[in-house]
Amino acid sequence: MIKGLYVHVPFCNNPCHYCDFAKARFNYGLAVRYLDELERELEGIGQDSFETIYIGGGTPTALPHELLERLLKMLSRFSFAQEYTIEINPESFDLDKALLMQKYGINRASIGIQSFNEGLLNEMGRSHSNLDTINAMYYLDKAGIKNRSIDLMYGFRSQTMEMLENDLQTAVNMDITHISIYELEVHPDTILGMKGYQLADDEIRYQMYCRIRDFLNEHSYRQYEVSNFCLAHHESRHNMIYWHYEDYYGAGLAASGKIGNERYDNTRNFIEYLKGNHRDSVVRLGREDLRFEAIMMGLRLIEGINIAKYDERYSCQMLKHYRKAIEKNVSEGLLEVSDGYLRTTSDGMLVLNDILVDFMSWL
Amino acid sequence: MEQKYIRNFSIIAHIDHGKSTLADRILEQTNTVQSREMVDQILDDLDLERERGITIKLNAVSLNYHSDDGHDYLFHLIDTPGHVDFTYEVSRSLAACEGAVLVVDATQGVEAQTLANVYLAIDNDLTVIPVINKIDLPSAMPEMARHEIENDIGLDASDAPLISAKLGTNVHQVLENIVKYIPAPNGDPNAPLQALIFDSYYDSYRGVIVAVRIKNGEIRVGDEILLMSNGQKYQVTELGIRSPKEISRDKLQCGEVGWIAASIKSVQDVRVGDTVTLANNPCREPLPGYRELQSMVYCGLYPTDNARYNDLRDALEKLKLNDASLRFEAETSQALGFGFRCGFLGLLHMDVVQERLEREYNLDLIATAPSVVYEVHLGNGEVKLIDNPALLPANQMIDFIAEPYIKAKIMAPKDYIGPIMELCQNKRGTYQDIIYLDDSRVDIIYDLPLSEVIFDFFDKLKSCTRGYASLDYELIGYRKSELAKMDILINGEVVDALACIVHTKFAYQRGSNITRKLKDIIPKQQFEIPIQASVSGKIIARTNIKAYRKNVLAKCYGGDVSRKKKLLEKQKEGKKRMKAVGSVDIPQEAFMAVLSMDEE
Repeated sequence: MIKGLYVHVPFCNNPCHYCDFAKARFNYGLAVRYLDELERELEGIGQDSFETIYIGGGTPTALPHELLERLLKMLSRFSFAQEYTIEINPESFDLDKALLMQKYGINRASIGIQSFNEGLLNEMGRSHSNLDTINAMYYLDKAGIKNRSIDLMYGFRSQTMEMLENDLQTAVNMDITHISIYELEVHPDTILGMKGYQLADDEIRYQMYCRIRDFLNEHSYRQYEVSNFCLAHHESRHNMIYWHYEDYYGAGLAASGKIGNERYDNTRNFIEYLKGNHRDSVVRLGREDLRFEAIMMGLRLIEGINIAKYDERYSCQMLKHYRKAIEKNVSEGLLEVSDGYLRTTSDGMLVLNDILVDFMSWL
Repeated sequence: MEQKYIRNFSIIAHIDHGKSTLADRILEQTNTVQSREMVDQILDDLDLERERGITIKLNAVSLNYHSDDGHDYLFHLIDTPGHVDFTYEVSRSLAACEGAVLVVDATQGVEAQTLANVYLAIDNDLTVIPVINKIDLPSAMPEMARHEIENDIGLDASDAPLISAKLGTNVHQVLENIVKYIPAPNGDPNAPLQALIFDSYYDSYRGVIVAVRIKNGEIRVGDEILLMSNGQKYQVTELGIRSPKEISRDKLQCGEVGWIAASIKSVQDVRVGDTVTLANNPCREPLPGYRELQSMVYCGLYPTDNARYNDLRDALEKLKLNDASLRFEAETSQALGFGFRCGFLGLLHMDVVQERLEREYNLDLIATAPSVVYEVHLGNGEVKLIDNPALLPANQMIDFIAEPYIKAKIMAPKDYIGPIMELCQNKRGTYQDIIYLDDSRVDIIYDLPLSEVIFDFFDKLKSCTRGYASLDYELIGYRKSELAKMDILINGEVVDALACIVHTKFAYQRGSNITRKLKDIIPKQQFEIPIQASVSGKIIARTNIKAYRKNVLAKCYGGDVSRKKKLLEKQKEGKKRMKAVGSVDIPQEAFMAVLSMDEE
């Protein structure tokens, strides 16, 4: 059974300067045609019940009330066992939309805040203010959506450690269950990339990351993934599907899905998508692809990978199959094997890419 | 054909002035090649040459031309390489001609680089006939070009055809001028055979094919020939001309240009500039101008993947079949494993060989910094020749070290005397002379250590003279210098492949330049890496590469798997291109950094 369903809403009111996701500025006519096409794609999904549903973007709340309702209505065909999340942006959220979400059973909100420092928000091209954020929390309260996550970012050149700590302190004072905090990545085809934006120094970003880990752990937000922290038992169930490398559908522009040994990536091209050419590529994953990708995703989790389950799923002995990479990284103190799990050490998580390259290079 | 109906010529041009295009049009207009058979620029055999816009391999084509004077002529068009590494080869192919067509770009005028080859042609007593090309371009200034040909070179350009090689305009006039102005060969058909070797290449069925110009006498299939420089004898199995495909004939006669096959096994036996004569009726002396080819520059070539050592050997052996000037022998490096010490004519030659190995044989290579051959005089009177700095004996055993010097002749407009002299001084040059060629041009003569010239001298010279200077050099022997070996330590370990020999006066500066450069080139790794330069065990420069603290993707969700995996694959490929020395991954460019002289 496919565990999760992801639905992409590729519209925003204003593009953020760091964002390289597939999206377009909101346009009513385009959005209507997009929803028509999305509906057709969803019709092709043969399964009606999932563990989790996740509506992401872009900015799902960039859709006006009636279009948001149309989206939620077409998704009401699917039932979910655990979690139904939607991403919201404070500036395009209101009580009506909150109540609409409640009506259709959404039980988790992920709020794109990025920072509480308005100067920094400005630098990122974010149009919301802290007042918008406070209001958004209020609307979610009214709608009874208590399970809330926020997104934060760090690594901006103009960001000081004080600014970061202030963001963290403000976050833990909020009534939220989950915090995702991402280091800024400058992609060439973003506004920052085109401007040649320079990140904060390597050393400073490292110190910031360490500070984040310590601060949030001290404040009951336990780290469970490279960039994700939560109160006990509030992991993002949907995202856990990805990190456990389980199967999911993705629908909408640029969405991806994995079904068994097949992964598909939808087109990032609006015109193609609206013509009904949803798929950009379908890749049949070989045995070694599956084995590696399960490691690539699983090692992002603090708990690591359950070796017995892995061995059973991929019919191999992980510790033997990847002996060289595992031994090297264990001896360097970057990986550890204990209680039946393979996991990164706290040093290892910082250089996970190097570890993965070893897994890729030595079979 | 009577000699008076033969014309042997080359085309001389600055890069991009249209030499190959003109050659193509000449082939077309003499119906040597049908236009539909034309692959652009037929004379440039190798892709590599075409890409770099330079001609390395020599080649000759025979063509028939029916002139306006009513006679049929046999033309031999001999191609020449165009770089200072190959000056000797150029001079030999020019020696196979009576004339040269000088192509000048009507939009650019005479360029300094052309001058060197024009004078080489004049030195070889060639008649140079100018043509002005690219008149189809709106920016063409044919009268300016004509003026420059007359004033800067001193050739009569009053009859120079205005052509567009691209469109074929007036190419006919060029052909007529060749008939009219370039002298016919005037060798003695009855004298003993004297044929000049100006090129050779290897054919896997027939052995070495030798390109020759018959200066005197004639040669027939079945003749027993003698190569005068080494006394080797062979039986001619086949000979002919090219048009541009090979056409077999039964003889080559006086004045002609053609090819000979004689079951010669190795191009090493066939030396450019050598004289071919008949074993049973030899000429009294060889043609003048023969020179032994010398490797001027050595470097180590190593496969990044040690398992491919044998592939590299096979590839080098194959290249050597066709490249008489390539030398190599096996060597080992602690840092790089098994590889080869290779000798080259110069840096361009080195680049070309390296590129061909990587491209045609699909090898990933690490090249160490090029080195000259040092004469190391030991305390016990013994003299050792060292072409690899890592092998320099311990300092206390050395009495002194001598290094090869060249006499450099730099021809340039006189406005650039200042910058050129400054450059030469910085490269430890000794001033010899300035000769005024005319009102505007000078020859600047310097003695320079070859080691200072082999890397970036030519580029620097070009940039400080805006491309107007040309460089010609000859080896003038060894001179004692204050030299010492500088070791480079990475993470505390001496990396033998990074060792270099430096002048003690420049050691500190070089040391800090190199360590700084390495710091920029070697990517940050998981730990801090000290980089040090040391001379005689004393650290003279030091810098640190800070550890990177983080290398992990911030986000990786369901939609990211494909892209993020590609990113990791890229990191993996990057790593593959590097050589692990101890626990440090060193990228290929680092081994060239030793030559970095940038004085910032």
